[in-house]
Amino acid sequence: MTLSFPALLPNIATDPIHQFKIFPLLDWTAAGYNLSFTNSSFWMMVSTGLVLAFLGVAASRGGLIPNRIQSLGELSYGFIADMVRSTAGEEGLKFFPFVFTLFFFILGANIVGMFPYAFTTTSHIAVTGALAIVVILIVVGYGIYKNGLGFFGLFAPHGVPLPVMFFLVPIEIISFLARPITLGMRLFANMLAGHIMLKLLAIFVVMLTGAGLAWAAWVPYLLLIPITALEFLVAFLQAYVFALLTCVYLKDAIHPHH
Amino acid sequence: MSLLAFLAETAAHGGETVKAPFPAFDPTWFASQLFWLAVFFLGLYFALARFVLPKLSDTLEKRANRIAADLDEAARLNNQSVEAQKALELRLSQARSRARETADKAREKTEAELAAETARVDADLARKLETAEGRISKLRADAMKNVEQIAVDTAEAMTARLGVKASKADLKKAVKAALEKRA
Repeated sequence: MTLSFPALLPNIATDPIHQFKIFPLLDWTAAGYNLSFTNSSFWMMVSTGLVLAFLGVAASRGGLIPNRIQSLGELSYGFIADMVRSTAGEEGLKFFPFVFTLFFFILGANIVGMFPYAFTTTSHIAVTGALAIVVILIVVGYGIYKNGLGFFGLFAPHGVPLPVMFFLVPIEIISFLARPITLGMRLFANMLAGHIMLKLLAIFVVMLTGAGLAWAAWVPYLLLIPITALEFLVAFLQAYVFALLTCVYLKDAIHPHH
Repeated sequence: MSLLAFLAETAAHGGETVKAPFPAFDPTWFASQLFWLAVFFLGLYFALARFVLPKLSDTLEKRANRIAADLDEAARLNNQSVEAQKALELRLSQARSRARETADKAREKTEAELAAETARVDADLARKLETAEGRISKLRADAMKNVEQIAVDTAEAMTARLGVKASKADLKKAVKAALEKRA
């Protein structure tokens, strides 16, 4: 049980996959499961810590006239609250803290992952898939709690003739079952692909320079700049999309009859 | 995924990673990932839901209330000023109509006085004129009587001188006729 922090700064080899590798910082096995505190856990701690620090500072001031950070916190609050209200309705505001946490958890992880040597926790299917499954379980759980069996009316839209139902209901069920998969996969794939692309371009720069083609290295280098900006946009956008789709699914739980 | 696996395999170097699965799908760490995800996500959730979000919403609500109260106060003051303006205009118009009334009354009074004075003076003048005319006509009648007497006397004297005897009554009648013819 030794904490090996030098391992947090891995030798950045010419390997685009190396950045996704998980290694333990603190070995721990409980109830037969390997629950080691890994580099992934460490960076998850960092991102949630930063998010909490930002929002905590923004909220604690509570001034009538906000300063910059307070204003930013209040804008975030209004942004997510408006999204929940406009997508899932007033009743959806019950889930506002959950959606808000989801958005900032993912945004924090995505943004922290943009910094060199940091680990992108949302680039692993275990994390994004688990979040997606939690969302769908909440949707199904609340839908049944609120509407009883009426929740399954979600699969049978109104005003559809019976013969069409035989085709439509299986399609609706499949599309519903695909939700956690697409929700988790979208975020994971975006983060993974983005980071591989950045890493590959960076590797090209190094390799071309190493091969004495420094003039050619300018091409991937100049390409790297807008793509880095794009990845910051994607980091925000994917957090937004995840939160927005959560609201859309919650709307189905609240009003299953479209 | 096969492309990624290919990338992983081709890019891997050294014996340690050759046989390892693609790290994003490596089940070795699933339990750890899920456990720490639950820890940090739930931790963040409770911290936000319990402390941060209520505080933010409280601040926003306080500000909204303050703004609403300030707007109400402004509306109240505005109403007050509008009412004051109305009262001012009402009193102004009242004062104006009173002034007009006073002026009208004064003018009417003056005109009446003027008319009365004019009438009085006119009557006085008329009266004086009448007296004067009466005197003139009397004087004239007197004068005419004297003229008649003189004419009769003259005619008597003339007739006497001519040796014609005429009665006084005839002379008078002749003079009168002559005078009437001339008149």
